Amino acid sequence: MSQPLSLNNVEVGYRRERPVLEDVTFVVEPRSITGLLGRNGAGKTTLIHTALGLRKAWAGRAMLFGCPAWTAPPEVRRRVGFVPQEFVDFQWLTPSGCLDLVSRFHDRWDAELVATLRERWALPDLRIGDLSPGMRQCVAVLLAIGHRPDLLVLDEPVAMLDPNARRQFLRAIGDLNAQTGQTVVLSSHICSDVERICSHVAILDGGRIVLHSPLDELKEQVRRVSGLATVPPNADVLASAGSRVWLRNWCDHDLSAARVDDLNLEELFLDITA
Amino acid sequence: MSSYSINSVSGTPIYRQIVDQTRQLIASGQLPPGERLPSVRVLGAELGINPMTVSRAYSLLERAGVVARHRSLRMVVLETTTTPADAIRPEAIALIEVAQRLRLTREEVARAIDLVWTDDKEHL
Repeated sequence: MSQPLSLNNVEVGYRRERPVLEDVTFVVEPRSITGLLGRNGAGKTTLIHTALGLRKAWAGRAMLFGCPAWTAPPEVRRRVGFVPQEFVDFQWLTPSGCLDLVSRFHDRWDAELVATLRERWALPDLRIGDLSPGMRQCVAVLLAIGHRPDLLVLDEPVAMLDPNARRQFLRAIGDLNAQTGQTVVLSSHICSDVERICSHVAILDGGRIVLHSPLDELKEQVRRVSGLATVPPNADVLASAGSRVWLRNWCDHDLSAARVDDLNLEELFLDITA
Repeated sequence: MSSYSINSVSGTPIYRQIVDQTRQLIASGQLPPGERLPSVRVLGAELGINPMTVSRAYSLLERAGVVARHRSLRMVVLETTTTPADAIRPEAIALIEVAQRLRLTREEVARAIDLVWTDDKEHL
């Protein structure tokens, strides 16, 4: 069984004495839309680059569709689409020119899908260098999905988009995933976007993946408990801050003296990464 | 336009919100028996959520006997066994959850409801 993307005990960084990722294990479910959350500088981009074989892991294993990512052959790389954080190529071309050029490199290019999305996103046909950052991002996404990859990886895809464009963009990602069964991994620090569209959520902190779960399961099983005198022994605590703890399988415990609130991903994220 | 309203940052999973709201729409008569639910893709796009989430909600409703898959692959509301009280089922479940945590009996909960019901302004 080959997972689209998997990291096992990966250590990697830029300076030997200080790894960015210390011990990352992160296995992405096929057909999922997985949101990778982390603070600025947590190493989300480093993780993505290592997983895609753009950076070599110092230790551990980074695999793409069952092949070592660093040495993955072209037929494996062809199954991947990647949208980098900042798109700076082809500044002198128009979106049409650019898409036309890139489509020629692929034997499988879905011109219809690209045309539909272009129209929906109302992309003006100006030189890419003259487009707004949000529009440039849309061009980058079209370039990455035209060949219908099985795995689409997006590094902070919506950070530069306005709320309308963000919503529209996420809708397109969800639609694509449902239509094609394509696996999607996207990094973000906007929790509400992740909650809206993702089936799975992972949190990167302190050089490790500290949480990775189906989102619905997280919402069903985890509660924020405040004012508990003592945390029950054998409780599964995800995070704690002051007198509040985040408990998994909260039903198993006697919490009659405490205040119990539903999960709020942003609050949990803040407490985990504090 | 459908009558669903999704809160993505709520602690209630989105699929659960769709299940609850569909039951409410049926209980209140807005979705009469025989009516077709919006397709998974259409509702997903309209609400800006993952269509797989809609699909999961529809499957649960199907398993609960609330809707059935029509030949057209669209979900159809079945001859209803829901009552108007089903419209507040999610709230009832939430209330029971709190009551059980506080170790209240069913009678105590009923008394609390009676108190507020007869004299709401005093107690709000």
